[in-house]
Amino acid sequence: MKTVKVPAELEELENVREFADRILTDTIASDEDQMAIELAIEEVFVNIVKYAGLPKTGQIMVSYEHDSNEEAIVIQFEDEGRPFNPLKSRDPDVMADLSDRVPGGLGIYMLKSLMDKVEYEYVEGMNRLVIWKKLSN
Amino acid sequence: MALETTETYQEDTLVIELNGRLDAMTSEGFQKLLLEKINETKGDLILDCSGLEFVSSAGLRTFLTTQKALSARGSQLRLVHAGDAIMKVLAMTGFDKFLKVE
Repeated sequence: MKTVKVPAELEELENVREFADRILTDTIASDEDQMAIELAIEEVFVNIVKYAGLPKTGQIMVSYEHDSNEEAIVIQFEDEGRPFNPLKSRDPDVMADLSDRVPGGLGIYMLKSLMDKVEYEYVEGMNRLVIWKKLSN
Repeated sequence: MALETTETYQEDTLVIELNGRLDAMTSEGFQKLLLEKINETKGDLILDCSGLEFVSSAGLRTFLTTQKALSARGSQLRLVHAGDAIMKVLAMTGFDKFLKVE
């Protein structure tokens, strides 16, 4: 498992993404899977920065694992912010007309659509969100 | 990676060419640009997405806000030359229903 710890600031997304890129180049992930994982990382990270109520000095820990049995990438996000489950946000109505479309809920909806599994728990004072993507080769 | 934009005109219609990523870091600046341009122009707004490598929910929100603003004056946001990856995101979120994707 490889881990990076960054301050809870939007600009840190770049560092988290670079770290993910380095790991993904070692695995054989298709362009489509890589894109899905990149999107998922952004949507989770940005959500935590915006809503977990962390001070700028607060830290977000991102861990990556390549599950070679399942041929999947597993990414875990941990932070010490207030208990916050991003998966509780309501899905947007993707069939709605323009006038009924609202900006909220899109990121998490995309996350759930792109990943095979997403799980949240609040444990030992930490928010923990884990995402799984099975690699298609 | 940043987002670079260039502007050209197709007859009277403004075409903004995007190069790079439309994500949580670049979307705010891009939204400001689009709203400025809506004020400066009449008619449709075309986004040439041939160089657009990545669009996240932040990017989609700029499309939504922009289309709503354009609809208010009877105009349309048109996305042209979007690659497969971008098309997939637009389809997944139903954005291809109210944007004109050519």
